[in-house]
Amino acid sequence: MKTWLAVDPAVRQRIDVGVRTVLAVLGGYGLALLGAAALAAGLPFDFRPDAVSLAIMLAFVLHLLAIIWVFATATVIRAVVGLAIPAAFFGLWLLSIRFG
Amino acid sequence: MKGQTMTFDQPRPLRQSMSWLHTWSGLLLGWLLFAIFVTGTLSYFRNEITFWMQPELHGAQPVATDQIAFLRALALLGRDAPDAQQWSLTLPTPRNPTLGLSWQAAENRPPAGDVARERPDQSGIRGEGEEGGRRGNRGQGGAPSPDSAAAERSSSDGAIRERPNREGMRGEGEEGGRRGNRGQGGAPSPDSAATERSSSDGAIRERPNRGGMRGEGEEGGRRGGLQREQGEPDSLAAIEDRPPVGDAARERSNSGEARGAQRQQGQGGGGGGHRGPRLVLDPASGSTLEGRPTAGGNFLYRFHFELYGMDRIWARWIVGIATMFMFVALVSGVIVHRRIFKDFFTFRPGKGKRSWLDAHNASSVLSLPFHLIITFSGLVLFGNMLVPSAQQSAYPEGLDAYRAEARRMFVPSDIPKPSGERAPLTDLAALVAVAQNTWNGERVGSITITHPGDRNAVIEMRQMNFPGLTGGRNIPTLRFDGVTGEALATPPMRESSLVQAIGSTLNLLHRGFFATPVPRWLLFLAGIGGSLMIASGLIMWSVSRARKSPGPVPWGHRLVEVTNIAAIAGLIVAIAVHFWANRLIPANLATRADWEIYAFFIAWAIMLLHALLRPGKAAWVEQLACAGALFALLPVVNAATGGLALPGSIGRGLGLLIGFDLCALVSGAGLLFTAYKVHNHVPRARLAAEKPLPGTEPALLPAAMEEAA
Amino acid sequence: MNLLCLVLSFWGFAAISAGMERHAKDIFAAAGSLRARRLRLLAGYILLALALPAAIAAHGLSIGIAVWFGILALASSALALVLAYCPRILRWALR
Repeated sequence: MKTWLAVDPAVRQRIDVGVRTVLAVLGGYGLALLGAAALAAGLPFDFRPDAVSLAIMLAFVLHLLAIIWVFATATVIRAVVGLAIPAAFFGLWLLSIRFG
Repeated sequence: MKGQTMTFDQPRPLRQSMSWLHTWSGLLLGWLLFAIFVTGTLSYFRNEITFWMQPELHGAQPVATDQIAFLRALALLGRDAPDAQQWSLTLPTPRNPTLGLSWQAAENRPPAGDVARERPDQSGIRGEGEEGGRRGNRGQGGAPSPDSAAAERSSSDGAIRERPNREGMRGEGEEGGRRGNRGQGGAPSPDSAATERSSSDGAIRERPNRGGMRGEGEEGGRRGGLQREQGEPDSLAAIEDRPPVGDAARERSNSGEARGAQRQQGQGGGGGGHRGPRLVLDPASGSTLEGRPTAGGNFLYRFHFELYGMDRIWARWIVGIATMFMFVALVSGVIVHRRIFKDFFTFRPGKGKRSWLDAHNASSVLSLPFHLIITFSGLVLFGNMLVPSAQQSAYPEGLDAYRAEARRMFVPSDIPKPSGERAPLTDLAALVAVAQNTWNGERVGSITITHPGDRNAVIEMRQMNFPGLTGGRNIPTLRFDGVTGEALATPPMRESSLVQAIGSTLNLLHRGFFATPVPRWLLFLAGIGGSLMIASGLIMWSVSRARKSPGPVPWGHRLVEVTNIAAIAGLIVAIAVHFWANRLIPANLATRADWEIYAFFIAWAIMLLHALLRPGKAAWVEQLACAGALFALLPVVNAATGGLALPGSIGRGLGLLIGFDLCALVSGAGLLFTAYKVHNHVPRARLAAEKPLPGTEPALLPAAMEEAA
Repeated sequence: MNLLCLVLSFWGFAAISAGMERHAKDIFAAAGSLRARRLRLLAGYILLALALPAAIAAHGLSIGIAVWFGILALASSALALVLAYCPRILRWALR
């Protein structure tokens, strides 16, 4: 923490933006993929293609929310946690569908 | 705008972060988004544009098809394809005054049970055809050709081609998937069972369509079904077909294209049969019309989601990513906007940056529902490609299972097998009248005759207009006995589930599948609004950073300025040049369709160079004036190069030509006016050396409005 | 019906703008009483709502709703330009 704070603020700023960008683009996309997978398998539709369609739509919303969260929140740690919690939720849901 | 100064690693207002996000997500791919929006907006009228680009067809009389025309059409079909399994007629519509004919040859294999499915096929195919056709058309110039060539092509040839297509699709994986999605069904099956399946294949495709599962699916479906609406496009596409030129080959290799070709060729069978060429008739005289090969409006259409000259999947990914940026920019923009209701109608011209912000806000907020829908539906159209995990997770057993299940959305059709006994066809004109009565005046868009000349011939009439948004491609259809003219049970329509209805609505709205002009024009205008929103946003980035301090302009600012000029004004010049090229390149040049496209890109490159070499303001003025002059003169060029001149098209009531010429005139005038305003503009800062509020050209704004048109 | 929808929407938005202090000053020279403005707002929303059935009558339910949104966008954009350049011509239509 000490060393991190000691970095030149301008550099720190750039690193921060870079990390958030990667989190938003890749992390958000990963979350969207995971969410879509869980929703497509877990949504209670009789007709599975409907679940797939809806999951895809929700995936985009999920990615959007993830991006907004990552840039809106105060610290990178919170940004990561904010992505990790829903990711864990969807992951567990998916696992419970597969193996439960 | 506060991007440069904001600090990220500490608490700050949400609005500040969102402002940063809005600025950068909008800027980064804003130029690409502008091009996508402008070309996409023009795509709402791609049929009209393509028609304009084929002056050979301008002589067609926009009359309802009468008995004589039907007899001529049937005589032509009887001469060229007496043994076809199916004949299709695309009736003249306000969007395409020609009568299109095509057929599907009998399958090599006796169509046993398949026949039943035939109908779906056909629709499916057609649907696809359209798209395909379009694609073909798209410009690649060559693409379309298949159709025309098709006729000559032996059936086997046809079959082959088709296969590849399909394979292609499949190969493409995601795209296939997505597309598959759309069609989910369609793609896959064909290969394997190709021939027999043809129908089933078709069916599959169609089903999904109907179901409206997904965007593309729908598209296909609708188009298939719809023929009417889409049909028209279809027919245009067909018209354009030529022998493969240039890229055609490449294009063709794409699955899509192939498909397109297929479809185009005939709405025929999905798999097995080959389709005949498509003929285009003047409905008044019954004479055949030969349009010049042209990239047509389909080039602009394909460009808006597949760009040009690059791998289709890559291009779609790029466009998909840009669309996601757009989505982020839209939503963050709404969050940023301080007084969305208070400033709802606010536009204060002549106030520099303030005016730009007002214009940006107004063009965004007032059409916000459109922007959100068009962006979100654009994502959903690519959904299976962008989010492959959904289908993979729901169907661990594989893509084929998904498609197979999606296929179930179809209700099997039940057209009887041919009896082998000959019998003359009934009077089509009378049946059209019956259908139109049944539909309370809604017009017939297309007619399909299965087993023509047989005792068991069946005639299907599809309505020209879509009745609603939620039903996917379902379009009202009537079925008649082909010999007695007696009404048969109509093919069953499948109910859409809620999700399918949503998907269908998104898809149909994005694609503007309305046959009636009012919704189409509204979408077009909203698209112009969206283009203005992006343009004003991009310009605002420059304006708000302009000359804040004396000294050399930072290279980043200059870069954005140059790119803005080339991407906004330069694109408009390039589009105008594309239209000019259509008329100036000799009509008999084999590669002319490709050259229309090259002209577009060459002009665009020159504009970029020009923007680099000239000072910012001069570059804006010159390019806008150039674009304005080119557009304003288009009606003259049209008249001088064999097209129907404006007085003639008004006299004959050819709305699509009137619309094109008037739009060109209005855009030209608007662009010239804008150029004039920019030229006379003195930055506010210089006027009143007050604050470093960098007024740049507020006049650009109204101008910008015209440019998108 | 399309035209009716457009007229109703434009009129409705004009009434709403006349119910907003800033625009009321531009249109009438004076903002008027709060109550008068509230009434204009109300009338405006009613007019917008009436434009919806007009669009639905012309296009059917689903397309009609889409058309209504499109016409609202068109009408409000036109109104923004009118308010920017010649707001006084609206006096007429708005009591």
